[in-house]
Amino acid sequence: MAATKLKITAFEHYSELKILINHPMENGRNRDVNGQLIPAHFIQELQIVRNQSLLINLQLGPSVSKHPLLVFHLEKLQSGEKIGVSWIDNQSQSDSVEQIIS
Amino acid sequence: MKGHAIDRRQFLSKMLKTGFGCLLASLPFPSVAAWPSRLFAHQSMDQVLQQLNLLGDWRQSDQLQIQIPENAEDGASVPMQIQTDLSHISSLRILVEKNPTPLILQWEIPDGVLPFLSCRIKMAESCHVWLIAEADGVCWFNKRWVNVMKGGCGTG
Repeated sequence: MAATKLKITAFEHYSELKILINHPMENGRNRDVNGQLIPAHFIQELQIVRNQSLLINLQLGPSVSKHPLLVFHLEKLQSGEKIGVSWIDNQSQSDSVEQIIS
Repeated sequence: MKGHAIDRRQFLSKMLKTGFGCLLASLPFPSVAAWPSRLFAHQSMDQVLQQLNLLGDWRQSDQLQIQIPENAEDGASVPMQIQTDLSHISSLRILVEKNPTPLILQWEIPDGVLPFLSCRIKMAESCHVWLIAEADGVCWFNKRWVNVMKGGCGTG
């Protein structure tokens, strides 16, 4: 169900990271067709690692929309550098992707 | 008196076991601060700010740019983009004043990362969206009013 996509685009002065995650981001306040509360299920932390060192540790709450699309700008990445993106949610599910700059 | 002594012994032994359990639980992620559940809990924005306890001067600045539609049809997905020309920004936070869980996200900005983020957020009702940035002992903030046609935070 959960899938993470990462797209890195180089611009003149920076590199853009586009991250799309297939995730329900349920805040625990919505009800299903039977009127039962759907348990909270949302991403709590998203980490971006550049060449083995932690660059960004984004902490999220349940008020981020479902299927989050997050865009970051980093200083221009050089060819051969490695970017890793990983996340973990409140139900301890997680996923990660990696990309080497060509 | 004897009863007391046993109680104390049991208490101490339980305390040690619990302490050991906590230690074990904290082992897998030693390098990163734990997700702050209290900051992201159901509460008012004032309560979040109280907990954050951000020190320094609070100054409003239009250099903290918030791009967000003035009228949002569906509060379940409101696109927004934040960025700033201010220098030495060390952290960014987005808060939605009237949401049940007002703190949307927060992150610390190291060298090599530009103070920019684009994302989609949920909004329960029409209110201000706040951006707060810490920099050199100053708390820069800016806010934008958004009219929400349909709440996007569920009914609880």
